[in-house]
Amino acid sequence: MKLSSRVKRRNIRIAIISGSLVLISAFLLFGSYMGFLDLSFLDFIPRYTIVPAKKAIDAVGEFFSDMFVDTTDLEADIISLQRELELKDLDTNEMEELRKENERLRQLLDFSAKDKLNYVGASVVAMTPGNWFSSFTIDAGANDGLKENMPVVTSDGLVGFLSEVSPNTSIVQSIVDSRSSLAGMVSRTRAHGVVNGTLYVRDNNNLMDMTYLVDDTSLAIGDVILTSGLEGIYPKGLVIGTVSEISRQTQDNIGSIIITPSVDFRRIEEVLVVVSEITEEE
Amino acid sequence: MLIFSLIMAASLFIALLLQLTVANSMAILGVQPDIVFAVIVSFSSIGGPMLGSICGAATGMFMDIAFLSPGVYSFQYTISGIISGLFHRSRVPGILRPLLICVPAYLIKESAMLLALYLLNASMDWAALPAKLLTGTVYTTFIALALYILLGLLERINIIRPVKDDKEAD
Repeated sequence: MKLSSRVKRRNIRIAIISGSLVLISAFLLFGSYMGFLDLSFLDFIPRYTIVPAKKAIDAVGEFFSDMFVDTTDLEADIISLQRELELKDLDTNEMEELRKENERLRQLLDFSAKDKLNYVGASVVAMTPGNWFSSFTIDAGANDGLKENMPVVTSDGLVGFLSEVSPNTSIVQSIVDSRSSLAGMVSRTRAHGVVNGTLYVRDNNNLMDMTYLVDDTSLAIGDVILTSGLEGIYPKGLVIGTVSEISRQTQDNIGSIIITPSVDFRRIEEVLVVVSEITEEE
Repeated sequence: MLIFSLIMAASLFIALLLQLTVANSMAILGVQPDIVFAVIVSFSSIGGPMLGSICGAATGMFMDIAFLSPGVYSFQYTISGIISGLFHRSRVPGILRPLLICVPAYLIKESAMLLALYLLNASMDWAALPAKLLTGTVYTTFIALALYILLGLLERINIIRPVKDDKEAD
């Protein structure tokens, strides 16, 4: 008798504690879905744990690699040159698009073109766990002037947009995430379509597909896909990727268009957040 | 029990750091292992449902804060910890236990995530799903099995002691 009542009490205690934790988790999930729960004020917790731990892990990795190569004198120069190159590459891509735009608009309309974009640099501190989402955390937030839906780029091209912003960190939802869709256009033909993130992977790299493409008959493998700027989040002319596969149902009907992103999301370490566009008046 | 809890807490923190930093580069066929899940299942199947639920909830809530996703990780890891903890008194031979717990628990967890994705109108490539699910299940179960064997070794050299059966406790 004594044995079974003790066991019963223990089991009841386990059930109460476990059940309470499940209910708390379910409440958090419900609150997040309904939008009345915001944990962004707690972002100092990962900032003071994950960020230093990641830096420690990176430092350990660098220590072992530096044992074979002495890079101490070159590191500062490399970092500074890399940042310069990233900004110059972005300007080059934009200038090419602006040149094409100016040729058309000079004949048709009187526009004021966007000269330059303002950026805030940030480092990737954590990749979102799981195989169904492609997003990551950066170490810049509202305190750095960031807001939700700001585009995120690297020198290679478009990365994604800020889906969540807390005071010191932000979550970037990448363009290859299966929840992502954006307006794109073929650089060569200027045909418009919708670029979607997918769960399709090749060589450990997530791929995208393109749908609702107007005039797809002249599309070719290797064509560069750019943002068209129509959905209002991404500036026009940012490189999304290249067409890597076209499957045709008939001569004139395309079955699917697969796009390889220009950014290597497996190795992304630093990004630039587009905070504003400088107009000619500025 | 205290040493076991401390080892579990340290293991979970290390697993969390590995999940957030290097798991992406450990991907096979584009699928990364769920290291945190493997640790929770391994320890819960030895420590019991209460320990499993507490560690699942604590780890999950930390990840929810890190990724501004309240409830997403805490819910799935708490449930995983409870279910795997319920098997700690089972008569299943040691090496089979993580296999029998991890495979269905992982499949249920991932299916719930896929359902959430579907409800969020994500682009569902149904042809790619089975391969990703199978690869993730095998990869994560392999890690859980390795951890379980390691815990068995620690138990054998008396660094940790198993949770006492009800009759022994009384």
